[in-house]
Amino acid sequence: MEENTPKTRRTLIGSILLWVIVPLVLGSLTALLISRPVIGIITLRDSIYAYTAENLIKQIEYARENENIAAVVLVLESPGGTVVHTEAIYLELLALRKEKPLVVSIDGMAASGAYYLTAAADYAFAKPTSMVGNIGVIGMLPDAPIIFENIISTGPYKLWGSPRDTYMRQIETIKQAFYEVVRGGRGERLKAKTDVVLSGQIWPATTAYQLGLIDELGSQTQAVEKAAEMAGVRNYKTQDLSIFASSSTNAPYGFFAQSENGTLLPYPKEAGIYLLYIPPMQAGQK
Amino acid sequence: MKSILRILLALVLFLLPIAGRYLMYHDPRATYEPRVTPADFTRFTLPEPPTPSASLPAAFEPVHAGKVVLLDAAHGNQYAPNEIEPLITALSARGGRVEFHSSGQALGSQLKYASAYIVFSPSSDFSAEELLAIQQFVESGGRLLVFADPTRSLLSYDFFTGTVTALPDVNYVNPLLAPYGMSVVNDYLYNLQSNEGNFRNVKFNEFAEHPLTSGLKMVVFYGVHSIQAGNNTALIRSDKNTYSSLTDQGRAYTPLAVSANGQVLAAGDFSFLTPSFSQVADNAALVGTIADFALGSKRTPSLVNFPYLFFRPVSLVTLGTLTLDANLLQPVAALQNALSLVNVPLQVREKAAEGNDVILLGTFEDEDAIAAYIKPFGISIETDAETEESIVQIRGIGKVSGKESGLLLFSTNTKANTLVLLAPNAKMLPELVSLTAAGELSSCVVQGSIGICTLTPSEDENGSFYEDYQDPYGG
Repeated sequence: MEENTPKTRRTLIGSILLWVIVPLVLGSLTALLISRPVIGIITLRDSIYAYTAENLIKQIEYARENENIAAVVLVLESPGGTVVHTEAIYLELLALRKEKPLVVSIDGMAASGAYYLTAAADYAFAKPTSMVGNIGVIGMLPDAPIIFENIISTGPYKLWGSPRDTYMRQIETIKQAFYEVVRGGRGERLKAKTDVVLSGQIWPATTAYQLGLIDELGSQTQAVEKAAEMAGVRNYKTQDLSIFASSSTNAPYGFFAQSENGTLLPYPKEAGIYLLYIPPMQAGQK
Repeated sequence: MKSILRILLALVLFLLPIAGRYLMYHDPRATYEPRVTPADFTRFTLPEPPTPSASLPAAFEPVHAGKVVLLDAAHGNQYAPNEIEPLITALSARGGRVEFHSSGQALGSQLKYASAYIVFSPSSDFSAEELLAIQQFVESGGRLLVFADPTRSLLSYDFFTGTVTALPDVNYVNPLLAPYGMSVVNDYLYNLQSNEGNFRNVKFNEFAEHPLTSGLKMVVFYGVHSIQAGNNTALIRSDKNTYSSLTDQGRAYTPLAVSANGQVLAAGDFSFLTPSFSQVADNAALVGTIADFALGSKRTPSLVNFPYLFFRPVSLVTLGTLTLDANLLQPVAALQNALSLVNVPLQVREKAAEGNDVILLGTFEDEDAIAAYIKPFGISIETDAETEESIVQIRGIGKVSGKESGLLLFSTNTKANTLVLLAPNAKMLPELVSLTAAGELSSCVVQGSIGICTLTPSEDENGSFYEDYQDPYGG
């Protein structure tokens, strides 16, 4: 039997420090390197065009590259916008989704191009009276090509881009692509038939849910919880990623037309092809 | 052994807080398996436009030379002449001539000589007089072509409230079509299954047996109203995948119909005949058959349509003892002038030349000379025993004073069209000829082929106006 001598006590304390306390402290310190997971919030409350697209893409890139961000909730309140910028955001969202869950939370409206983005998500929430859909393309036919006495060009469509007729057909191909995005994104969850999807209707979310265009009626909080669940995280925190957005393009005006008295009108000021929802009377007015 | 246990213990104690913190934030059972299926943007192709199948003649015979087609431009019509150039070209190639009816012109006057009247997307009402004139025009063999178009609604903007109201053209074309049991529906047709580049560009493959659709295999309408054809002929029908925007229901809709009497064509679109849509499928062939339809009318000459009663040179012949005196020469010259404006030469002759149409001048005083011409109309001239004035007895109308009335009698047959002008006497005949030359028959009662005009009695019979005048103030 060993004697309870000071030496023995020191040896015991030393052993406890070495084999218990030190690993525990080291483990605790190392554990601190595991940071609290973050659910990133990206918000689009505008139409989709160069300025908003650049802002969104920067936030998406940040979310993809930052390991702390476990999942992203995209909050949408948008009538859509230009085709190319919608596609740009959509492709970035797909890249993000390969690594992290993406959940959409629709506020007032996710129409046309904004629904295009919704189709990129793993899961989509909307409020019961959110407006969802308006899947399709709008555009204005350009004038029939003519030639001018004092303007010389090197081909029949150098001045006009394409025949008037082709322009109309290009819109049709964009529509086909839009449908493929919806069909591919929603998969088996899509219950509506093709002609219903492509009818261009905008539905209240209750109907959109029945058609399989969204997954659930619920709040942004539920969307965050769903994103966390899909990412397998808990005790997370949320972070508004808009602080990481900064656009090199000009200030966010110039997309919508303006009336003579300065009122902003709900349709673009330039002719072109858009994935955009324009309220009925203004559509006719245009 | 003891050392190994210590190392294991240290390792466990090291990992424990790490695992604890990890488990505090992560659910180890959860796995995220993204099922990303991006669209293949490379495989979408432009739909090709359908090509023509019906053959078009290389050249046209101007078989309808001189026929006039009247285009409405008086009702805020939503088209520009250059848009309908393919139709104008097709009409011209067949010898037809296009005139526009603009506001300020009397529609009835222009319809007198028109073969067809074409209305494109009006945005204002036709007056009751115009509707009546158009109905009479159709009854006399003229053809009415009514084109509506859902893309041509007039938009009314209220600057105070900012509201925009669409005024569809169907509101204005349907009164034209109502007498024939047809109407244009305020909708547009669409087809999401099979279309010409866009859902609203509808392809049609089903045609009725009719000259208007002869040889057609497929036509495409670019934004088209449906037509309610009723008991008339639906010339074209859609397939069941074509929907109406009004109901979103699919069935066989018709965009083009012709009335049962074959005189009225109703179309729900005219974009199909504008460049470049007129070059798609058999649209150009359809434009051709529409031009044939417009020029193919066979109008029954009617007295009210003077001077458009004659299609051959006219011989002017006096009846009985009537002579072409100085008083009559000037009105006859006016008559000659009026007919020359419609390319009909008039020559004064002793008797009508072979193959000519005829204008006969006479008076009631030459009863024997005019008897053969008035009898077919059921007209006889009697003399009142008491007053010794002539009384004109017209079957179906009754008695008319022969003292102050002139008669216009028009007959037509395969050999010649004949107009007989009869006045009470030679002094009153110039007034009747002048009235006729001016086409001013508003002072005449025209009933079928008989016209009865009030003429001013000559002074020597009734005395001077001033002789009979009694100054009410006794001056």
